[in-house]
Amino acid sequence: MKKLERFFGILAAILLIIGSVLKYYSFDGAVIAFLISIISFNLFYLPIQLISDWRIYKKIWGKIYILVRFILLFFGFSAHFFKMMHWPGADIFINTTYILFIVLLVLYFIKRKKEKIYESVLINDIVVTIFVLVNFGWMALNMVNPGVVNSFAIQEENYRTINSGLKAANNSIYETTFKLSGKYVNSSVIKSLTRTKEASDSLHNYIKEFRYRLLEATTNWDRKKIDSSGFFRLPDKESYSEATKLLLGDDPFSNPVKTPYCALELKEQINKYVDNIKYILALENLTVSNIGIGLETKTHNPRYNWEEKYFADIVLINILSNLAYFENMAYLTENTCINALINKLNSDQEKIVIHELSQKEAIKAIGENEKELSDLRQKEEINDLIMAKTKNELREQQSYIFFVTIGVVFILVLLIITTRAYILKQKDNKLLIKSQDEINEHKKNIELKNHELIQKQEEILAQNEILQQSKEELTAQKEELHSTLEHLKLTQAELIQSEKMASLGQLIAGIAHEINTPLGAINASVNTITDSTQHTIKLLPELVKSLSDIELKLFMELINRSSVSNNIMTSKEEREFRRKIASQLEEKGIAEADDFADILVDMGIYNEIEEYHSLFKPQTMHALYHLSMLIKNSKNIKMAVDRAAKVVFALKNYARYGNEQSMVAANIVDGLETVLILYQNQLKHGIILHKEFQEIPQILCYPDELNQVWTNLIHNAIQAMDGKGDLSIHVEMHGRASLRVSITDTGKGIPPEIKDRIFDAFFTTKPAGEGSGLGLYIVKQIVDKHNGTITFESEMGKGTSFTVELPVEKAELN
Amino acid sequence: MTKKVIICIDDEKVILTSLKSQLKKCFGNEFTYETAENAQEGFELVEEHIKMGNKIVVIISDWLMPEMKGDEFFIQINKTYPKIIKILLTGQADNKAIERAYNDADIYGCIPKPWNEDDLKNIIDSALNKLSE
Repeated sequence: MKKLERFFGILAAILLIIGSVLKYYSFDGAVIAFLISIISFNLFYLPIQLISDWRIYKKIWGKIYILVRFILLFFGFSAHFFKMMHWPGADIFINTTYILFIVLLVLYFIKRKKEKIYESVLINDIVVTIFVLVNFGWMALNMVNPGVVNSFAIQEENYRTINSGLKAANNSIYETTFKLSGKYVNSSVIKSLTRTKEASDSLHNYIKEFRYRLLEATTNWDRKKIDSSGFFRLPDKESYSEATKLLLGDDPFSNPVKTPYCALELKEQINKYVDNIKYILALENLTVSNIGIGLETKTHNPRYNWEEKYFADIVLINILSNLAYFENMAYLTENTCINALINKLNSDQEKIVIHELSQKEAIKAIGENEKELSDLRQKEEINDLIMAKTKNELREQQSYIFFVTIGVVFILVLLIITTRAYILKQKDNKLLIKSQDEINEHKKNIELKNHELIQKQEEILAQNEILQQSKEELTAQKEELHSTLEHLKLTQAELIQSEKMASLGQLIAGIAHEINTPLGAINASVNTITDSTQHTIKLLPELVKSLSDIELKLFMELINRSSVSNNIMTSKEEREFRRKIASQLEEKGIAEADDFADILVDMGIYNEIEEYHSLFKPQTMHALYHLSMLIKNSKNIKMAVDRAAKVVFALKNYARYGNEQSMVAANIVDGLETVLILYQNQLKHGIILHKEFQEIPQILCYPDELNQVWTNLIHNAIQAMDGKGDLSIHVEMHGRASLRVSITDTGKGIPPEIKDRIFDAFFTTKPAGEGSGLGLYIVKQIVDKHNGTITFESEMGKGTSFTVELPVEKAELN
Repeated sequence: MTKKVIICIDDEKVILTSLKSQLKKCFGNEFTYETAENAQEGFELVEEHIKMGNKIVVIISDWLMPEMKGDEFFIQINKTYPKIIKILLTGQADNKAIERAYNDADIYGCIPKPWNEDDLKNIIDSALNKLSE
């Protein structure tokens, strides 16, 4: 559809342009071009556009616009057609429609909706607008300066003038023009044709001349041909042909038959005169076309009898009628003229007075006019040149005007397009500026963010440095820790060593005590022996003399009794016996009851003293005492020595701890016994010892270290019992591969909350300074060394039992 | 008749025997000699004799004893009977305990084990002299 539209539009435009050009140059084709243009535009282009665009325009405003546009353009272009028909109102109609169209276009510009399809329509409208404006411009220019442009309106007016002139001519032709005096055409006619006096005079002259020439030419005609009525009678068709042949020759150019009528010459002359007339009329802004040759056709009617003298008029009329032939407007007034003339001629045939042209008058006229003629001829020659020149100038001018107009149109179009482009560009610019602003903002934002990022980066770098520093510090710390660990390990070793030393110290203190005691006892005993010996030496001899045999016997009995007594009574018990004996003796009236009681108890005699009554005298008693002391103290010395020896032996065993590097076969029972000896002092009072040692084989072990184990456990047990309770030690085999040693006390027990910790190093329940807390820790180390296990059970208030299980390695005697 | 009593306290019977015989040898029947094997017995003895109206003159006590130690015993005695002369007999007592005994128990003297008979005699003599002043 679009292609069709485009085709018709372009066709209409092109034909419009062609028609304008043709009309300018007075070609017949202009009419046809205009016609086809209008048809193409109005009947094809506009409707197609309307239909196709109707669908495209969605909004009601758009639809209204194209509809109105269609109507205006359609009627506007159609009105040109009516103008061609010389319809009076056509001009007004055309102008109105075009003004409306431009108004519509302006409205469109003001209230443009955003339907892009407008653009194609717009260009069309602009072209049409330009065309309209050009026309208006033409009109305006012509109104301002009539001689500049050639326009429809002007032509229209001239045409009207001519038309009326012709009408006048019609009216007056029968009056005067048939006067074949040939002098001049009716001046009113000429006047009616021309505007200026000069033009009318010229025309007048030329017509006169023309008539004369014509007459001259036709004087040689065969008068016989002229009928009595004075009309130049044209024969019928064939005859006419002959007549024309006679007049003009068959083909004046191809077969120049020299006729008596000098047809060629005549034709040339006619043409010449026609040209001159044309020229004159052109001065009056009239164009003429096709004058002259119409002779053939126009006078082709046998009915009409034309007098030769009328021939010139006929030709004139032809010319005049041809003047009405404007740019393909074939309003054939010539026909009308001729018809009128014919009618008139027919009706007023009688009235036509045939005026004989007196030759004389004619020659006179000719003679009168010869001067004029020569002048005129000169003038004609000059004017010819001028005419040619001005014709060229005019043509140049008109071409110039035409192209200027085209140029102006082109510029206008360009202006509109550029304005439009500019407006669009402005819009785009605004958008660009807006987006530029946005971009700038974004840019700022990004810069800010960049700044932030850089800051953060710096922070991160700083932190990195800090981290690096921390890392270095950590490494340093790690090294420090390493060295500290090493140091601690050393310290641990030292602590263990010092614990060993401490326990050793304790042991040594205990041993010191254990040895001191016997020494003290020995010392005391020796003193007593020394003392008692002296007393005995002093007392005994006399006593033996003074005592009777029975008394002596009793004396010896008491001594014996004293020497066998074990001295196992507690001082409390002794005190009780003492008091009892004392009271007994007091009853018997012995004065030194307390003293004697003391002696007897010291001797170890607690009862059954009645039979020794006779001995209860001071001397006897003292002798008894000292003697028994001798014996007793000697015994004490022996006992003390034994004890000391045992301690030393135990010490010797203990001291071997730490020196041996490899396991030896040993019987752990020996170790236990050794330890028990060391603690026997503490065990003696208050603690009842239960020993149950089963048969066990020798095992590979570190005996001294095991001794420390037993020492620690027994020590703890005694402490737990506060020196009073039952201590049980069991040794037994557990299966074939291990033996068990359990040490049980009846002490206060281990609280459940510390049960997990008792084997921990430096863990102690004693106040600070009293225990290092390494005892059980070392015990565990030693038991682990033997691949054994140590377990315990404890109940608060009831007691604790530690069990050490050791594997039995088949002992091989070294 | 008010007796003058010297009490000896030690967990070792041997010591007690020696002490008693030496004291007896030195002072004879001037005093009554009592022995106890622990602090508790010592307290009982003291109460007994006080009840009987006797005068406790000197108490000689060992330091290292099961249950109550010597210094503790003397502190207690000092609270109730400050006038009794207290002598600490010691084989292994740590210095702190001795210090405490001097300060808190106001002991008169300290006899280390083993002791000399003469040392024992002298200290008792001087103590008795002090008492009579």
